[in-house]
This record gives sequence, C-alpha cells and structure tokens, in this order.
Amino acid sequence: MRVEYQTCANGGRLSLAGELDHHAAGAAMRRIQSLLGEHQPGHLELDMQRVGFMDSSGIALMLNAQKIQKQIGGTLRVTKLSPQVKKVVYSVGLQKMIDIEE
Amino acid sequence: MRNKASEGRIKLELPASSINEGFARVFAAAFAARLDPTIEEMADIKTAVSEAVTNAIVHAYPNGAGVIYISARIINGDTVEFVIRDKGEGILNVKQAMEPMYTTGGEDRSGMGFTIMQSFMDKVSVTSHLGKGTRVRLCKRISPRAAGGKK
Ligand SMILES: Nc1ncnc2c1ncn2[C@@H]1O[C@H](COP(=O)(O)OP(=O)(O)OP(=O)(O)O)[C@@H](O)[C@H]1O
Ligand SMILES: [Mg+2]
Repeated sequence: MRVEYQTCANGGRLSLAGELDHHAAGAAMRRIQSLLGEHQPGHLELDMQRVGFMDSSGIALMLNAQKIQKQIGGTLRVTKLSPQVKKVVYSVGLQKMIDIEE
Repeated sequence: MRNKASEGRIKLELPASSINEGFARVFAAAFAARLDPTIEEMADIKTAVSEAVTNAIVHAYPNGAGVIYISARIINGDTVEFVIRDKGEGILNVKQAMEPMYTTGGEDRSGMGFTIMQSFMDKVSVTSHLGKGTRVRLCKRISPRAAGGKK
C-alpha cells in the first residue's frame, strides 16, 4: 500500500493507494504515525480515493489516525470513499466516531 | 446464464500468512462470479471472506504457522456458501466473540470483523472448539438478474 503526504493550506493530506487489509495495515500505520509525528498537521485529510478495498483493518487504522491527531491537538476528516469503503465504514457506525465526507 | 455447472465443491488450502489474504478474496470473487452478482454483492463477499481469513491468520495461529481451509459451493442454484476453517486456538465463547467491539487483539484490531460478516452476508454461523479450531460458514443469496438487465 502506498502512503503519500502533502502539505495543504490548513494542514496536510494523507493519500492511501492499494488494498487496505491486515497485510497492508501494519506498515501503512507505522508510516502514518511517523508522517504525522514529523509534520504535525492541524487538520488532516485522509484521502481514500485510491483505496479499492478495505476491511476491518482499515477501521482500526482510521481510529488510530484520529487518536494521533487528537493527541497532537489536530483534527481528521476521511474523504473520497469508494462505495465498498463507505459500506464498511457505515456498517460498523464509524461515521458516529469519525468525520467522514458525505 | 446459470446452469448445472455450478454444482460441486471447490477446496483451497492456504498457509496462514497475511500475504494470502488478497488471494483468498480473489478466489471468493472468482467463485461467486458463477452466479453473476452485482458489483456490490461481489464486494460484500470479498469483504466477508477477507474478515474470516484474516481472523484465522491473526487469532487462530498467533505464532504464524498453520493452514486455512476454504471451501466454496453453490446451494439451491442461487446461494454461495463459503466455509473457512482453521485448526488453531479456537474460541472459548463464540457468542461473546461475535459481539461488536469485542476483541482479544491489540490496538490494530477493532473487534468488528464478525459484525461486518453479519451485515454483508445473509447467514453467518460459527462453531469452535478451544485448542482444536474454528469453522465459519458464510452464505449469501445472489438474486438473479432479468436477461441482460438489472436486478
Ligand atoms: N478463527 C479464529 N480463531 C480464534 N479466535 C478467533 C477467530 N476468529 C475470531 N476470533 C476471536 O473473536 C474475536 C472477535 O473477532 P472479530 O473479527 O469480530 O474482531 P477482531 O478480529 O478482534 O477485530 P477486527 O476484525 O475488527 O480487526 C477476536 O478478537 C478473537 O478473539
Ligand atoms: Mg477480525
């Protein structure tokens, strides 16, 4: 899974690309952790546009990204969810815990 | 077109390594294609099978080595059935394990795998014996499409 970070006007954007399963999630989370520690964005957009598949491993990743953001006083918004990702997110009620686009 | 060729059971054995999660999903999707599912139905099946296989890798065989047994068949001409078995640790209390947010995993687990399987499939049944292993059966009916058209 590819993880890219871009600085934006009010913070940063993390773009993920690939299939976000248990196999990919460990390395992706470590990379996210170090990028957030390094850049400390006030607001973070987690761009899911190029994530074609996600399972419960992605839920934990989103919750952990939000936790890191809260610790450094920032915010998180998850954007550009594919229908499959959206369905997983809503099936567990994650939209009640995390700011999800739409 | 659906025909009798959809009968019979296909079996797959996978080493319990995370690299095989993607392969298990592709297997599930290729098998389900026999019933001409919609894109959404296909995604539901891949997601549920991914959850069950990941559980076997993460929870059944925490020390790595082990084998996951997957079988797939069509029931009644319109329903896909996947059985995912392991010979790992087993689950002490299945009812509790299936509750939302229940997990024995760490920070990188959310305890939502069974919840996802249940919301994406029509039927989920789990049997398990401590020290012997776990069997997860997932079924989903694929509604037939009108000729050439939508469902
Ligand atoms: N094949 C299995 N072998 C042994 N224990 C299992 C197995 N499958 C599930 N479990 C147990 O059931 C619990 C709940 O499983 P579930 O998939 O719902 O959540 P999780 O795997 O902990 O987290 P998530 O799926 O959200 O990453 C697990 O934490 C584990 O204790
Ligand atoms: Mg799980």
